[in-house]
Amino acid sequence: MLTPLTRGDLRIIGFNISKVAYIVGFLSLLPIVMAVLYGEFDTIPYFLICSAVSFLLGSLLHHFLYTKEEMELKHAVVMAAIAWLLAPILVSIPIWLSNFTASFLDAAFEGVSGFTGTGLTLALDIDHMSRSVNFWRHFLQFMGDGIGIIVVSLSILGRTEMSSVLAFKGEGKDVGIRPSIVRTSRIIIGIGVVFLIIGAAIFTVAGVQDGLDFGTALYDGLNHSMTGYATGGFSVRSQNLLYYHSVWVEVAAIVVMIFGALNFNLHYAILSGKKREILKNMEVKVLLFLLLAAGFFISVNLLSSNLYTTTDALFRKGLFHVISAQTTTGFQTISSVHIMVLWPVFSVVLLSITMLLGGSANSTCGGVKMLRVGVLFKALVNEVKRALLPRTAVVSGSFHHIEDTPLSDTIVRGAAVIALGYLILFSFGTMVTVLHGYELEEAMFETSSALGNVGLSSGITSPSMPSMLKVTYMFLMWAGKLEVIAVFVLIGFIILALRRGIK
Amino acid sequence: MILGLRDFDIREFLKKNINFITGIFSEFGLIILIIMASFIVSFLPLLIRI
Repeated sequence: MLTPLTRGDLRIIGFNISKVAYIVGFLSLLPIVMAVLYGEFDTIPYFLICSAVSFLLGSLLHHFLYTKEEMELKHAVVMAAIAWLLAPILVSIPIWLSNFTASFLDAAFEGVSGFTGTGLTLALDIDHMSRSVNFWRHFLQFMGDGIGIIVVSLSILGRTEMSSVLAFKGEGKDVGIRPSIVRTSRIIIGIGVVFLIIGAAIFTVAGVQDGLDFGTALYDGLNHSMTGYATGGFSVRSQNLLYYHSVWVEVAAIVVMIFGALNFNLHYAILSGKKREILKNMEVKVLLFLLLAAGFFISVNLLSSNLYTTTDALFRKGLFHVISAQTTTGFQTISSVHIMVLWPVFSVVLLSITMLLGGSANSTCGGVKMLRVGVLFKALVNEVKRALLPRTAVVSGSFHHIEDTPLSDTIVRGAAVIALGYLILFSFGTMVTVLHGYELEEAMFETSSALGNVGLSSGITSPSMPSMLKVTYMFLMWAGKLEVIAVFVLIGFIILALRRGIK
Repeated sequence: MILGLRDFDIREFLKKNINFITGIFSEFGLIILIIMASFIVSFLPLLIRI
């Protein structure tokens, strides 16, 4: 039986959200260094205002809701859901004040898209945006999605029955929520910074190789490394990676995107000495198989339509977007119009499905995730075996992810519930988009992109799109990033409060 | 002496972080494999058409 909510529950949630506001307040001071470095002193007040608002909100919540009670799992899940709504609003303040969006709603859209690592953008004239504000857009993808969501995924969502992706193996499940978050955060930040430096170095070398001056190559490289590792897809150029027309930059992007798309448990295992895990891990196998299968069919389709007729073009314009979609990054080497007008419908729909399936669990990727896809496929095979074998036969299965794990009903149920949740939200988003007068395939493409936190666009996302659609995509990005679980729990929390009141 | 660099021993550093360094190389290996496989997948349709 469900226990009614108490005021204590709300205090614990509110008190812990104050810490999120403090973190945003602290982080929003960092772009000031960039502003000083580039002599953009006019942008400094934007970040100071953002920081002041965040600290004020944090202080109010801290003062009025102070509690010494420990956070439980239900509190942590609801806190994550509210934090991923509140933080994007706070981080959108400098973007709004800089006048590079048409309205506060557009700035909030940019904040949600950035913080969830999606990459759909409503920013105006990105090429002339001040470097400090542009850095902020990229930095919030790195902090929100490159670091924050992995912490939430490993310490909170991975512990819920619904998740089926298993919590961090670096610690026992009996560790309390708060120590778990602190300990996991330290490891994630450490590894994230290492990959950030490696990515920035590769991008910088690629940029210099293509004739950019070192300063520009380093600035672009640092920002693209942040959004690439976060599988976010924001770019410092309005044409995204198409601007560079460079195979070196594209290869650098692929390297960084795959770093970000791998399960953090896998990174941890490999970097701790278990190198064979890379070959045995079910999630890597599923990722590789689906990537190559989708790549092959899209290549055949693009070739048969005589759009690209060389290996170079098929790789750089076809396969690159399959990798970008599968890793849910959203880097583009061709324009949105090019995809929607010139690509055959089959390729567009297949790319939409790829975006919805996503990359690895416990990574910066969005979508259903490869671990769940693998689990569901194994469960399907088991069901077929059960149907063919005598009734008395026992069918059991297991999969390898860091360690051999039996394919229990709980894990299969968790994967099925999440996949169903994504399917419901995908149908909802597609219908809302079609109701606004868009074609079915572009509606499917844009919805998959928002829900899977990808960022590839069919061209629907623009400042002139209807406000209702902007809000719908913001909801999809938020729900998709929290793997639907937190949204369900938050809705359950609200219904419980409405039906039974707060004791 | 600056930042304790005189005490820095490269062999000791490598010994301590060998798993981490070789782990990074293993991940690069996987990425090279993915890039090569993707390139082959882009080439296959042309081969079939020929």
